[in-house]
Amino acid sequence: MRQGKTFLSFVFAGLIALLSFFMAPAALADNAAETEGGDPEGEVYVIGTDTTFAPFEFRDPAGELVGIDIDLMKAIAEDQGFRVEFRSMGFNAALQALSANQVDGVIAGAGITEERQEVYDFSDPYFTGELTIAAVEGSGISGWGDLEGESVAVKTGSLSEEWAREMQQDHDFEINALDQTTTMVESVKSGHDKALVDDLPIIAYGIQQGSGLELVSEPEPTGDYGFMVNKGENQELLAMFNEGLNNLQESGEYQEILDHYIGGESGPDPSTFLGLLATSIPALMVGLRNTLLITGISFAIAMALGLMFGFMKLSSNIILRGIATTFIAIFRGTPVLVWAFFFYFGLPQVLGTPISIWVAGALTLSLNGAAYIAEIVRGSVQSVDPGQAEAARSLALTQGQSMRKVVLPQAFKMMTPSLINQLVIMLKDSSLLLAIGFGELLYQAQQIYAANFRTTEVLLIVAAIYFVAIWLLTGLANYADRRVNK
Amino acid sequence: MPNPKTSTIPLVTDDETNVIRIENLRKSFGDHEVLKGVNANVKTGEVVCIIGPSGSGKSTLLRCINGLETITSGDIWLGGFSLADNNVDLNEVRKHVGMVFQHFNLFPNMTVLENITLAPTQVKKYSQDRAQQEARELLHRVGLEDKADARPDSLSGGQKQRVAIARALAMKPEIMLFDEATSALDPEMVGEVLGVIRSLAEEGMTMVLVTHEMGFAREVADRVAFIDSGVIQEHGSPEQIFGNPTSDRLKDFLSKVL
Repeated sequence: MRQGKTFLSFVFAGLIALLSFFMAPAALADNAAETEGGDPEGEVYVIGTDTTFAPFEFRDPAGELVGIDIDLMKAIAEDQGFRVEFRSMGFNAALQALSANQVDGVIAGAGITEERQEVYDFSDPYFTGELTIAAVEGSGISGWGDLEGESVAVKTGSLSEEWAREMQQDHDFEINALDQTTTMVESVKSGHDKALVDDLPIIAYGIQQGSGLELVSEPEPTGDYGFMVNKGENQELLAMFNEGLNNLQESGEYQEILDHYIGGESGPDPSTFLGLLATSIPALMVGLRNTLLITGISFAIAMALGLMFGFMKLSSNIILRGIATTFIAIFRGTPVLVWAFFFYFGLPQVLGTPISIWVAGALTLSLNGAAYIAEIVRGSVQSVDPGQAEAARSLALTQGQSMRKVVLPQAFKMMTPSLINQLVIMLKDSSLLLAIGFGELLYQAQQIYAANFRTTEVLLIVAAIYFVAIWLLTGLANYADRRVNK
Repeated sequence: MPNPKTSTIPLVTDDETNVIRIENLRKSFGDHEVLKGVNANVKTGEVVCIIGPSGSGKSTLLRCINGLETITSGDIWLGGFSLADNNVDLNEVRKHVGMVFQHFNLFPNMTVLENITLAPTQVKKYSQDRAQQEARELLHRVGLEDKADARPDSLSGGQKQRVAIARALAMKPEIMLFDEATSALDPEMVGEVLGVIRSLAEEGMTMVLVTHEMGFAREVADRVAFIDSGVIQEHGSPEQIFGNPTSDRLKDFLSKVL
């Protein structure tokens, strides 16, 4: 067992080293990796954060990561002379990344709870949280008592869920646990849920941005927000955070940051649809580039692996066939998302070394794609008339010659439509990588509607971009198919 | 005996020698025994037709002769090559044996000319020029010199089979095997293919044909072998087989097909 694990680690380490080599240029091109803060010579810390937790962290129309947490962390870094690099990856993903030592610390509007304190070390509190209920304007709801028999949206694993579960003991309502504030808001606006429970500043910011909801209850104090590091790790970072926070609170800079986001200066996003299009396009184009890049890289690897496993499956050698069959069964029989989490969060803990999100993303998509392509290859080769190989063999061609000259050209012609199909599926599957915080197209869209609450419009724009990209891609592939397979 | 690994010399040099010797050949597919002890010889230049009811093992016997089917027991000798010997390079044997299939099995991804030049360029390492020149001569011989650049799917069945014969001849084989070469053809196209086979017989090519064309067998065969239930029941000259059959099985078979 122990030996098996070592061998597995060795194989994976080799694979990853290879992938890293190919992907270094792509990773360098990722603009998310800029460091910010104080002394340019200072130590760099990687800080995980939520993707869409306005006003604590979100992206402004220019695509810049902003918010109370972000500005606070930068100001503290400035004060203490270190540098930070942010990874916005979703709340739960950030906590997993912290456990996996993929990041040094997490600042994500996280409440200080006893449960979390068992696993993480918290800083001094930097914000006191309050929860509140919100519903559609004019709904007539004024508290828990009005929610009997209704469904209420809460944020998965957060204090809002805890509060709602507590209230469930006295009131009879359903709980619908969702991942993001925008999803919760859309769920209430579309009538799936009657009300939502979330942190007051977040709901307040949303209302300011035109979310169409109103606060319907007295705020419930929940406790304090803290910055966290993995238990027993990065203690010097924690000490610097506490000292810097203290300095900022004394100088008044802390209050300035809060006022900037929840002081009520900005109004709802006033732009027309075209205005929205214009402001969101730059960020979406970055997303499209990442989507196309990760799909292209993954498809190339998937083709190589798929051909290899496809031929192994056709081999007369029972061991090769067994390896191929196992590989295909594993990756075809499990969801893509499981592997995304495994490669990004699980594998680093096995290997003891962080894995680039590009490598994890490409591994996820290419291994899944390879399983399907292997079956396409096997099926196509087997569907070539056996008489073709017999005719070639009876002309004294070797097995290899008959495969290369006679069987494969016919098999490739047959498999092309299926391969184009697989490419399209892979391009769409790449959107699943948003779950680990990969900056692809749908992820960028989430960033935008998390800040301006124009969910439907942004999603329509993204759907159109996907549609056009896939339409052009299939057109190109079919053209190439006609040229090559006349 | 020539070294089977490297030999490209002819299978036999003496016209009187049996170029094919089949010794107690048995062939099973799983539990099903198709050939149950076949013994036969074919002399150089001889034309042998194999007749018999469907499922009797005719095609299996033919496919054993060029190694498309492995031998379960017994042996087939082609000149000095023993097909039962695992050390024999089958590709070396196949250079001497051409085969024509019922369904032509032309390569649809190539032109007619490419179908014919593939084996000479790949196996014999001929230059493209030499292979193409010889291919055009062969196409002329089967009457299809104008179809060199056509794709197989644009040809009629009879034309396809003539290309398939030219393709097999391009390797300059000493033995030609025909597996029901006219069975898949429309009746009006049978003649053009039989014409080509007849001209090969006249040139002295050693041939084994599995056929349903009794009239043709009678005309071109030196000998006819009747197979039923996995063994050769009767063999002899066409006159003897068709004119004076001895076994009841052959009489029964002939009464159905003639």
